[in-house]
Amino acid sequence: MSWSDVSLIAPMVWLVLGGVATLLVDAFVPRKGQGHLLITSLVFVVLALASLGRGSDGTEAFGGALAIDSFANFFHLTFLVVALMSLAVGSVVFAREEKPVAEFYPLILFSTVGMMVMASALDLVTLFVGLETMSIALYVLSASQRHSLFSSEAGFKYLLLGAFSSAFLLFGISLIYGATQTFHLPTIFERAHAAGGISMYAVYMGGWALILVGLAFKVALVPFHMWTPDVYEGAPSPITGFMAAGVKAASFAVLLRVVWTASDGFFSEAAPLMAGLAILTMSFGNVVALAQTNLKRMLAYSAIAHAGYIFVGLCATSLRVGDPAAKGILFYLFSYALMNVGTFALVSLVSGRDGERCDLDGFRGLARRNPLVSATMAILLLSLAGVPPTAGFWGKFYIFEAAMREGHTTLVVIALLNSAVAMYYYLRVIVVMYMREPEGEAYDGHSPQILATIAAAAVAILWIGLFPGPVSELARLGVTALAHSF
Amino acid sequence: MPDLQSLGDNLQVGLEHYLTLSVMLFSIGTLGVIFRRNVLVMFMSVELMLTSVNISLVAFSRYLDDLNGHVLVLFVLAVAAAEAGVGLAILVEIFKKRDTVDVDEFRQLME
Repeated sequence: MSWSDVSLIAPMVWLVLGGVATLLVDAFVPRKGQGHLLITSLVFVVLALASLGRGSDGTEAFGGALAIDSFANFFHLTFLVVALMSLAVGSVVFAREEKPVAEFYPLILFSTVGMMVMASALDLVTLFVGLETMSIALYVLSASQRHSLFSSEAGFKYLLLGAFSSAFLLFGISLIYGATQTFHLPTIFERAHAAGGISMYAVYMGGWALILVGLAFKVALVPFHMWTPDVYEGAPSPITGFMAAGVKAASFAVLLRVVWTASDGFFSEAAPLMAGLAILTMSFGNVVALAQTNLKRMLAYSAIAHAGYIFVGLCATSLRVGDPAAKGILFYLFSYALMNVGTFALVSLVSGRDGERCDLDGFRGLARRNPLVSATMAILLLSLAGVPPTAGFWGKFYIFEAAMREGHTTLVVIALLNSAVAMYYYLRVIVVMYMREPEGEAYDGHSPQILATIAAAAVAILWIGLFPGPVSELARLGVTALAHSF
Repeated sequence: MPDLQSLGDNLQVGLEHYLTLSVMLFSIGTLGVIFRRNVLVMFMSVELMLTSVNISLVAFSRYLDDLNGHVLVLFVLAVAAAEAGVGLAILVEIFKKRDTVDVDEFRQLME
């Protein structure tokens, strides 16, 4: 370890320092309210943003444990944006509690560090440590509304199934280690492609299968999704937005890097299985989402469906330099992060203190009461549905077009049919907002932080929808970096 | 009278024995999580799965004569302890409100 290594991971260092600083500020600066905590944590996120972009493609830090390349940088940017928005929204929601939860700020920062480590991990041990840093902080955050039994149960379910899935991941890591005698992804690739191949071939393949299962739990692919609706509904809304966007992006970053740098053999042999997972995930998520009347639950099932669309891209990855499917995945994850955090911010604005108005009825006639808020909600929902000109449209377009070119016609047709089904439940919310009379008590959400966040998200989504070029170029650079890492 | 010394030499415990043990413990843990309804027992089953991974890691490490596996074992132990801490804290919180540790009663979210 040297100072140059430390300066390479400067964004993560800033976030860790920020987490410690917020804890200390909370302990030693006695003040009412949480404004000072919010500002402290935001300062460190901005410092981390400012120190992004170190290292060039192929740069390895800490003896090959972490890769700091454009691929990692793209995801680091995504996570920092998600953290920034979630901090702003969460500061309002958690300040409403009877006993304010100051731990929210450091936990969000630590969890973001875990995600960043995952996106950079070039080593299975680092991957595991990053995953657990992210997850353990999230278990606590899900359970952090202490007056609500919903929240505690959500936290516990997430923890139990999270630990269950990391056991699978770990067993996979152990088998890979046994078969190749290393944790370092590029070395695994070399040994797998060396003359004579791997002597314990079954152990090696079984290892990758178990790792895939472990990560499938995290991104909520269908046979491994049982925890998702309960946890997404029970956790406080800003946390749900944070984990739906962040965990999904981090896990897909790991999957992409693993597919590209180490396990091409397994994933090409498992192609039919992966296509099956993608079809199951998309269809199940969308069909069940149709029947939901609770908005958070509906968004949970839609998150499952979105994981399915992204997985279509993973099935179509061609492992060539600048692969369009992988570029589509990066673009999709970035735009999904914006719209998802934005939507959950809006839900926490409208649904009231305990989330009692999460039902679709809570949105009745919102357009009469607050035209601006319902207009942003409409933009976010249309983007989730993939209607042009929004960012969501381009994400789907890039992935489906690349899959089409790779010859996965059936997959693309099923994905398009699914997008049509999804249109129904997204539009239903818009219909309720615009074409029903308001009833019940007026919604009381007037919070500058949340309004600023959702406005920024909506503007960004429209901007990327009209000019997808810059983000798409960043994503392309990121994918090019993947090819350099071996 | 059998020669105990030579009997011991023939009883070699090899990699496959450790792996078999590890797979068996892992399966028992998996079944425990799926079929038991007491959350504490489910939690112990998860710990059993993590421990079985440790056995296989140490066995591989010894067999391959490589130290990296031992390092991961230490990480796994630390993470398991952290998870247990968080999990039991949340469980206490739930138990205060509900007076039960039966997972079938955790139905608030499932209506």
